[in-house]
Amino acid sequence: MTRTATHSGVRAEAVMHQVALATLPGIVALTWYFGAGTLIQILLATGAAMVTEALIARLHGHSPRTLLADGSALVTGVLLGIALPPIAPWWLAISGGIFAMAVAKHPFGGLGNNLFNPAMAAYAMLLVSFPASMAHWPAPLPLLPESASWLGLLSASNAIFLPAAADIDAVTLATPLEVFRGNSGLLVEQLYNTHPLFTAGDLAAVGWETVSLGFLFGGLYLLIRGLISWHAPVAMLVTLALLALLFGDGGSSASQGPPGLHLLSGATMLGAFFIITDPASLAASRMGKLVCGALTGFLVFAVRAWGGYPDGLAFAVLLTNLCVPLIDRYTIPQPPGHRRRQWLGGGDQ
Amino acid sequence: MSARGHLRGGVQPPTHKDRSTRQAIETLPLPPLLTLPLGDARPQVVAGTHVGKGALLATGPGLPVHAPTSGRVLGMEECPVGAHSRGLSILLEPDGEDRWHPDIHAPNLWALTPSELLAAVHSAGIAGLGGGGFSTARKIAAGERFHTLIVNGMECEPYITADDLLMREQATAIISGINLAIRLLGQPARTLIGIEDDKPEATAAMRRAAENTEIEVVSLPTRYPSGGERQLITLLTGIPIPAGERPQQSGILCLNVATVFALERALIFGEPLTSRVVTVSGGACDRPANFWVPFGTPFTYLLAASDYRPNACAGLVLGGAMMGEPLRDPRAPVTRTTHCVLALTASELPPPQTQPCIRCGLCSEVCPVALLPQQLHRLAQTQQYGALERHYLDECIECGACNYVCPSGIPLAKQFRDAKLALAAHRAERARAGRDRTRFEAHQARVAAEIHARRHRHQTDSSPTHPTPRAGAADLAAMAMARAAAPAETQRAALERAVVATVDRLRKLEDRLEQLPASTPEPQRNALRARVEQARIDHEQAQARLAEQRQEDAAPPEPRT
Repeated sequence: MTRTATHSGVRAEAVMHQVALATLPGIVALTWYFGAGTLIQILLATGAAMVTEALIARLHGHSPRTLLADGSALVTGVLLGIALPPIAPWWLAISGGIFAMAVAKHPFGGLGNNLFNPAMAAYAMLLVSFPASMAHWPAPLPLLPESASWLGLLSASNAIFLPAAADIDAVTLATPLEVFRGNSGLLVEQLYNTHPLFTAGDLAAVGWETVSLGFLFGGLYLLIRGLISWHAPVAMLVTLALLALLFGDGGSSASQGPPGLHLLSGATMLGAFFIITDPASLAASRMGKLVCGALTGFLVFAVRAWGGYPDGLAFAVLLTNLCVPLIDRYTIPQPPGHRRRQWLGGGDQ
Repeated sequence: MSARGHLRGGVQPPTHKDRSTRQAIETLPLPPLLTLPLGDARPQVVAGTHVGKGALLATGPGLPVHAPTSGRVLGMEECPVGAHSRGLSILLEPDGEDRWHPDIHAPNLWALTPSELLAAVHSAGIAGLGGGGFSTARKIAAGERFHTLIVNGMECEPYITADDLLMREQATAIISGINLAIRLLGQPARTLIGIEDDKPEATAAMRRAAENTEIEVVSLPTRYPSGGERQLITLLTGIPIPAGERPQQSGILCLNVATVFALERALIFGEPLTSRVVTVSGGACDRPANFWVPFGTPFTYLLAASDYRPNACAGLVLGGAMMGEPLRDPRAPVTRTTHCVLALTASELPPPQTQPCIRCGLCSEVCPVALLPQQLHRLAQTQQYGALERHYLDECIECGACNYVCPSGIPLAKQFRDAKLALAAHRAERARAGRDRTRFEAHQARVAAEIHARRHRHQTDSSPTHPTPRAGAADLAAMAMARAAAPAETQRAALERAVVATVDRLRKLEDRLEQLPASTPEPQRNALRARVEQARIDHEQAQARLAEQRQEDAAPPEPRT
């Protein structure tokens, strides 16, 4: 499809493929630091999502090819696979992929009509249903015990497909957010100087920072290509950083972690550039996108600081998704020539 | 000088303009038959009349219709008009002599008052040739205290080069037309010509012609749709036109270069507007070109002149690539608003819709009026008129920039055009329902007042609590108030007056009922009967009240509690 006088030539499937492509730097970093498990998770989640979507297409009486052609199931699967712990048991990714399509996406009307981000809905479902399995992240490559080596395809497959037999405790390590969550007596500086995650890291925690930078890099690519707008990511990252500053408590032991930690660990960058920018579940106007981004940033911080989970992206995204219809209603941009801004214009819906 | 404002959004499609700018504007031999749609005008000629070029053929509340050439009027017929409709049209068979009607002569400009000049402009049929087609005289008359005249030479839509070539070839005449427009507007302080920077020859020609005048020629970046009226005004002046108002009301008038040229022909030479430049282009035309076309020329004639290959053509479009509409019947004629006809190949047409909206929001990024097409699309599908209004559907200029970028290939602009019509119909319906409701509620109030009055007929101390605007009830209210406040003697007098008034009304209504012609439809007759009945009740009530009052006057007053 080429650019003509009547059409730009940009098609939806191309947009989706670009998004999938932009996750590559992050995936490479994940694989390098946390083993090949990520690739298997992506395959499992994507496969489950696409098969489910094909079945639903058949139920609707469509050809599965037309529904799969838009590439959105691929993107959902990839994002879910990235978000899952690389050594999570196989049925997590599979049930997540099925849930994303069969519960979060198609009952709402399919592509473009889903209220919730399908990948995050699936992730949140898995997180509340199987908290233990969802908490096992392997240690980043430099911090693996001497007895263990990089989790190649074989050892990762063992952990994933034979979870009962594999001794995954040997290779797991607390995530940086969990470290801060469990901290009770150490100043931020002491923690940064003593905990191996931080002593080996340049900006925040080793491994995690690189993965975050990978997603940041991919996100910038999408921004430059004009496939996402800057409003939601920037609002989210700025809000998160400001809150981290505000509650940093001067680096005391009560600190919720410095801004660098919040920006470069957990799912912050993935969320900011790949999750909340999902247009189907994001507000429509620029102002609405800013509000959504800021709200997600606030909720991510709130869950991390005061909630029951070390990372809160999935919940933050879902709660923001819930608010989108309301945000959309009050952030309708005014065409030029309109003087009054009707923030609270009544309606008849 | 450069742009003062900026265009929000917009797109930059390939323009394909060089295809039709290689040769000068061509004049074709006259077609065998001209079809002149009447619109709301009424014919002033009969079949068989021989008319000269420029003769008045039809006139009416809108623009008049003139003969584009000399020839014989064959009659009137229902013919295809525009992209997809039909209308009554005068058929004119050219005699090939192209002889002017003897009454056509140049008006004496200096003897005419401004309003006479405007009348001359209107009767010459001058209209917005950029696509609006609205009477230029009326556009000018709708404003006052003009401070800026803007001449639109942007021609921002792909393929179209009619204005470009007109500016290249007729720059002096256009400047002369602009000077006339300046006079019509009462000497506005500034006059600006906006031309997109992909037309360097036209810009240079206009600059040369505008030397030693106050007229400024401004070259603006090529970006669609910067040639939209409001977009161009904002670009050149930085002034946003208030919503719901026309630029004229802000003292700014925007005229297309072709309109200004027609103005010059009309006021200097006395020629009514009967022809225009039309671009014929597209991949299925082997010889894309611009033609001077008399109105009424069928598109088939133009397409044949530009070596149109029907086999290669996947779609005929009336208008430009962005805003044009599929041409249903190519026998339809060129009219004032025809600036372009395109014969596009399959690869030049917009793609078919492949899937539903994915809400990517690319459309809202390019929308020049900051709408949210992704929201409007959904709301239009579900016909949520209130929400469509709140999302400013009426502000859509139907430029089609959203279509251009939509990755799902959704024809958004067409959907919005239809939705605007549906919204207007919905508003009319709502207004009518509102009127009906008001009437019904008034009726309910009357009935309630009646019931109330009857119920309290024997309670001497009560007063009606349902004042309604109706005369009968007002009488009752007056009676009650009189009774409460005035001494018995004046109360009785007031009640007597009410009895007289009600019986008078009853008689008049009865007379009217009797005098109704036999042909009166039954509903109307029934309505009058109901009013008679109502008047009778009023009268009986007034009588009853009077009787009560008389009894009361006779008996000693009751102690009040």
